[in-house]
Amino acid sequence: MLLKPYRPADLFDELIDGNGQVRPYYQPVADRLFQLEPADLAHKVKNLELLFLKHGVTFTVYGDERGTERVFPFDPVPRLIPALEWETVEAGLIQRITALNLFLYDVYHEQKILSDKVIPEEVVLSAAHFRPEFVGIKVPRNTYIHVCGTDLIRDRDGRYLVLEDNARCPSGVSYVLENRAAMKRVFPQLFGSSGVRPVDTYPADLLATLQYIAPRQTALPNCVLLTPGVHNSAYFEHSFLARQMGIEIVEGRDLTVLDEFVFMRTTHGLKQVDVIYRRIDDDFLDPKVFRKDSMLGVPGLVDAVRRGNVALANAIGTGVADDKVTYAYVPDMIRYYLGQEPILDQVPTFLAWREEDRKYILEHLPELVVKAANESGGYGMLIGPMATKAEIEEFRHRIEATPRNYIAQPVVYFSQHPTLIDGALEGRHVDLRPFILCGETVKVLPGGLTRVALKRGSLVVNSSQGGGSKDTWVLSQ
Amino acid sequence: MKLRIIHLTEYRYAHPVHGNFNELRLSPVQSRWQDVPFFLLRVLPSSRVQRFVDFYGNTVNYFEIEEPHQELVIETTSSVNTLDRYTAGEPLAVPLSALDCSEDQSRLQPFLQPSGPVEFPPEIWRAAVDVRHSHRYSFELAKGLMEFVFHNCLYLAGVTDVFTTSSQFFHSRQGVCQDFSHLLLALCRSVQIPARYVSGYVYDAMRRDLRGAHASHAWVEVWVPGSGWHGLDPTNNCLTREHYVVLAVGRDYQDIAPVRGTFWGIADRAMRVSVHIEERA
Repeated sequence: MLLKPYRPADLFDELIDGNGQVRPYYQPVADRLFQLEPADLAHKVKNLELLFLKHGVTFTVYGDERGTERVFPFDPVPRLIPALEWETVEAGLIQRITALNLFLYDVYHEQKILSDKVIPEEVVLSAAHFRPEFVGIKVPRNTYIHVCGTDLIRDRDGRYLVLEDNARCPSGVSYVLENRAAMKRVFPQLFGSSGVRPVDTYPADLLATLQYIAPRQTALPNCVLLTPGVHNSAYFEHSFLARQMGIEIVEGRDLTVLDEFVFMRTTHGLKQVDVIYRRIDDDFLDPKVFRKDSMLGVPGLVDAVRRGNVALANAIGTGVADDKVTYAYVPDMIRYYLGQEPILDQVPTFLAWREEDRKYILEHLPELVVKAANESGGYGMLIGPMATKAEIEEFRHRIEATPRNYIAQPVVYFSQHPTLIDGALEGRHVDLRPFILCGETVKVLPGGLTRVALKRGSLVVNSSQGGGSKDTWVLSQ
Repeated sequence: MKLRIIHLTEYRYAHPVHGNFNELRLSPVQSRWQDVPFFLLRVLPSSRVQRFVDFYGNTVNYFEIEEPHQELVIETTSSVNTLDRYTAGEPLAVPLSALDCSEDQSRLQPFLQPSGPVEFPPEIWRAAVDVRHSHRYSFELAKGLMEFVFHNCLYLAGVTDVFTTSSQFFHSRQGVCQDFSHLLLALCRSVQIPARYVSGYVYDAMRRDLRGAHASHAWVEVWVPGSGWHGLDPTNNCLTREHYVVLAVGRDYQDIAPVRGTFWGIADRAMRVSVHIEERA
């Protein structure tokens, strides 16, 4: 019923194939979901909203005068990924994260990839998040990125492309788990025979990943989650994950460093901490080493890390791997460290610091997407075709002033997915952020967070910029 | 059969070593019977990993770690889908005489000659001829030779090493899969059956105590005119069906050592190898 007026766009449509037919793997879900009476559906959507509100599934928008904490918008039409398609994505992600970890080991040790001139030295050494103070420091299990969220999009042909890696403190996984729980409660009949791979093992897998890097290999290493506090945009996620893993959530002031060991203040006195799952940026970790004005960190923490008395997930300095200029070199990294070709393609990237690229960028600004190299969350971005003249001119000046800070990519129109807007199905752009854990083995959470740009035609899916999310189902057959 | 394999090799050196050059034959072979949708090699300390295909068609990855280090980790993860080589039955109808007039003779020469540890002095030849006595078909004879090895030798770890030859093993009759395979190669070649050495893994789904399961394993393939290479596992006295995964083939162990290399420094080191194989959904 709902489906009739739905029109696929001139892009890759996640529901309708090139011949105007519902994709076969989606048919069973379409049969059930789209046959619902509008009143029933509206009622269910209301229930969903109520559930999210009650569970406090929220995020905070910065730079908004109203300073609001908002419920994360959720769309009930699930995104489905067939088993075979997922197999390739998973393989590509495992390959990519392995290469990134080898790269980080290399740039913090011998820097062979730089001396072999596969990646220009200045790219790494000028990256804002490169931490020269950590060169030569051993990290547990030689792993730097333990938790990674890699953003994927699909081009016109349905090919998955890597848009960016989030190798510092990727967030969003709590929404994946909450979305699934809510869908199961409100639409139990949809799951019937569809063989959806579960996502609820994530907290246990994350805990195992943390325990794996504990310096004291005791039966129960003390792992904690370090949050910047309740005002952080992802605080809901921090508390959610700590609760799910059954570990303490702490703020900087709950920790103290004695003799280069980290302790947690408890009602029974001090307790040694082995692993810190930190959701604070490097800059704020330790006012003795990084930002002196940070009230969020723990003085002396970095010394304890250097000594190997406490492990951090992710390690300090991973930001050099998800820098948007470094991104352009990831395919070369894969070839260099792994001796094979990348499985997942990525978006062609022009680097403003290369003279010929810069010339091209400045000449083609209205057609390109320009991104700041070290920003995340959709901040500091220009989408050429949708920008005003003034915005374009502003970016022109910024690029000319600090070319190292900018990259540009051709506009890739993300795939679109039917989304419930005011009771009717409309196409909206989606991306996908799978979550990858690097512990004893590399594990990819089946699916990930599908973010949807709720504004018609918008390509920005970030929650801070008016995006919502969908439940993502990886089919087991 | 859909398998996932994680093979971890770790070296710890008592003193820092440098100039550590290694050749790896650890990536499963892509063939009609074996599809490899995923393979990943991780080397730590991170280094440039390069690749070539050797004379026998094996993919070889190689790398060199120039700077001093005390630890080397080589980890491979593979997904392999195998088919049963013997679904169409065994190539039983090929008579021994077919081997003489086979036009593949010249191409197969390397697999008919003695090589490295595969020696066949008169006593091995004698043993092979005694078995040949009761057979008229080539694959049947090869199986007879495999049974001979299996029934006359004892599986015992730690008494042989990578340099043990087939004649030494023929006398001691104690050793591991590598020795069983070298002896079967010698027996086959001494009666003109082309035979090659295979390294790989065997998955023991039932935990029925297959020797070499969940470790690096080795077996033998014999050439049957008109029908190709067929695997025989002398350590377990069985045909290599779908639970076998081929990593590399060659004349003998020396050709296809899974990890081979040299380094500068004091040779005092400890090695740890673990192989984990599981069925994928």
